[in-house]
Amino acid sequence: MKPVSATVRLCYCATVSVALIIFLIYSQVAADKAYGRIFIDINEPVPRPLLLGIQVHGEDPEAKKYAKELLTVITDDLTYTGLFSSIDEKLFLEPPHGFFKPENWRPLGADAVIKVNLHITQNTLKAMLAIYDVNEGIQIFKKEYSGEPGLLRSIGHVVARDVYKRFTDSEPPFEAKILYIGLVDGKKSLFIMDWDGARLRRLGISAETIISPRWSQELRSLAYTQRDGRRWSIKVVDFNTMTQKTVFESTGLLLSGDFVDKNSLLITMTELDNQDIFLLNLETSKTKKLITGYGIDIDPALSPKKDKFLFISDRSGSPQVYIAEISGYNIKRLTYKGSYNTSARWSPSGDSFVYVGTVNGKNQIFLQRFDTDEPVQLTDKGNNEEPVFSPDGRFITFCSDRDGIWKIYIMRLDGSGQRPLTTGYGFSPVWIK
Amino acid sequence: MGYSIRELKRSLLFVFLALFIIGGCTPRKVVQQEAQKPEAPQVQKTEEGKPEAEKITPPAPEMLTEKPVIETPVVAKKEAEIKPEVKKIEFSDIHFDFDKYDIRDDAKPVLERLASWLKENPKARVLIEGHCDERGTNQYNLALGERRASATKNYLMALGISSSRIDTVTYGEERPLCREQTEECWQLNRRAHFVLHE
Repeated sequence: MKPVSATVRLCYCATVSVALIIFLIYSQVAADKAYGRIFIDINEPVPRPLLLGIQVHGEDPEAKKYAKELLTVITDDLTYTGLFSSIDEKLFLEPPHGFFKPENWRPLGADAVIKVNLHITQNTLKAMLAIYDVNEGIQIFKKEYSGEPGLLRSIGHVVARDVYKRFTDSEPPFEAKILYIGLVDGKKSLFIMDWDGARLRRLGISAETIISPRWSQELRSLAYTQRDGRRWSIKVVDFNTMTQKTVFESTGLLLSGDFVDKNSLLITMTELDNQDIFLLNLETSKTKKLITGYGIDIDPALSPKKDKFLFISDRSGSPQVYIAEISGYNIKRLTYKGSYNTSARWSPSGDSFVYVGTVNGKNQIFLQRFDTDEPVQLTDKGNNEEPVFSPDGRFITFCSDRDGIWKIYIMRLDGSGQRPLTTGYGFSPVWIK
Repeated sequence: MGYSIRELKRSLLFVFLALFIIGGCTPRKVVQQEAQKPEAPQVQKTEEGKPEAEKITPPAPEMLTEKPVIETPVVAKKEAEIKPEVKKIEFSDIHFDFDKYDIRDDAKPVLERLASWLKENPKARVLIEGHCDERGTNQYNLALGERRASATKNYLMALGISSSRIDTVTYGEERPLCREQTEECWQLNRRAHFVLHE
């Protein structure tokens, strides 16, 4: 038998012991973290929804008028995420203005209680938010919000955001806006609404055809394509200054893609009867060809890291989703199921993409992870097109003709909670933070 | 090769020792934690101190309706306006298969007649509109409609018509001739349409 040195033996014993100590301390830390703190792990596939008692109290007659709408905004924002559910107010054992008593909430199974006190002074709405942990019987968060009464819904979204952040440590899209293409007197027109479909406003831009709106959060700029007669043009609206510029024109098909940076935009352009993908220099109007082929190559969508882009090509004989490096090299096909797959868009984390695939003659929305190659069908009613992720990656907006006309819809990442956000025509939704 | 019983015993002793130390500490730690109440300091802070305040200002997009959009037009090359149809003669639409842009055999006699007519009327020009049925997606259909128009243009050029007399435009699925969800209707919509003018 080969002798083992004492040092090695000691090392072995010490390593095992240290590993054990680390393991035990770690479990203790994990237990401490869970202790006294309600937390939802949003990365869990199906986290148990946190049960909330939500109460809004209007302190004066004027404020009482706003309390109901504020309660609706906060409750709808939180419950639509699927991470929270709310207790029916008929079951409440303490009134909205009453002091928080944990024994009033424990029988209802509440995890936490959200109380908002609303009052108006000098045409300013003030909302005081307090969050209580029912199990611990303590207040865990307090904050005051104020604004003019016209901003009631904004206050609701910000209160809901703070509640969401308190329990998930992540940012919800409650304050984000959705821009889309609507219809006014037979012309396409740009609209903006809240993430819940409320507070619809016209942007004051309309044309015979508007298509392919793309937003850059970094630049706070919108690129879109317009066709008037035979002339195609790509426009850029700078939301900082609210000014618009025509950045490129052609009589052949032009489609705006994503901004790469301040000076460059991915585009689709027809050159010599070929639809190819180019990088447009916004300062010099010069174009650099990135993707070319005999067939159709269109609709580039930039990755969150800006190192790759998705695009649609019929090089295999039917439209399919492809990926390429930003240089245009290293082209790889991503979709193999079905013979008509288009409109691909990245998730904000970059680990998956959504696209439109045709099933039994109808267009449906699919989600595919880059690491599985296995698409998941998310819609099955009518035609569903133009999917795009919310900024937090937990929702997908799209448009559907399931009710006879095209409207904007939203759903959760697993396809649940599908609901319309517009009552009238809506196409090509884009999220604006 | 392996460890003796004695060595194993020694390593186990370490493990038990570790367990004993941690085990002995653990319950006390919990009690300490309970006494401390991890969330308590925060509660104190928020209750005693002034609560964090956030002034709500309208998010930028809400200002959109208030500011008019100022267009700074790029110097646009004025394209030759397509004059309204002047010739009485009409050529029927030619049709395409689903998701295809090659010229079918049934389209060729129409294109041959159109080519001879254009040769007889050297001043006339033709605008070819490419259309699709509603089944595809918008952007792809715009590309497909353009392909149909340019395939038609190329066929006419092969028949001796100068490209300078032919213009093309794609309407994708924007201008359907009919709206029924039937193959007959979809076939009517998958077309190239000719507009003759001088």
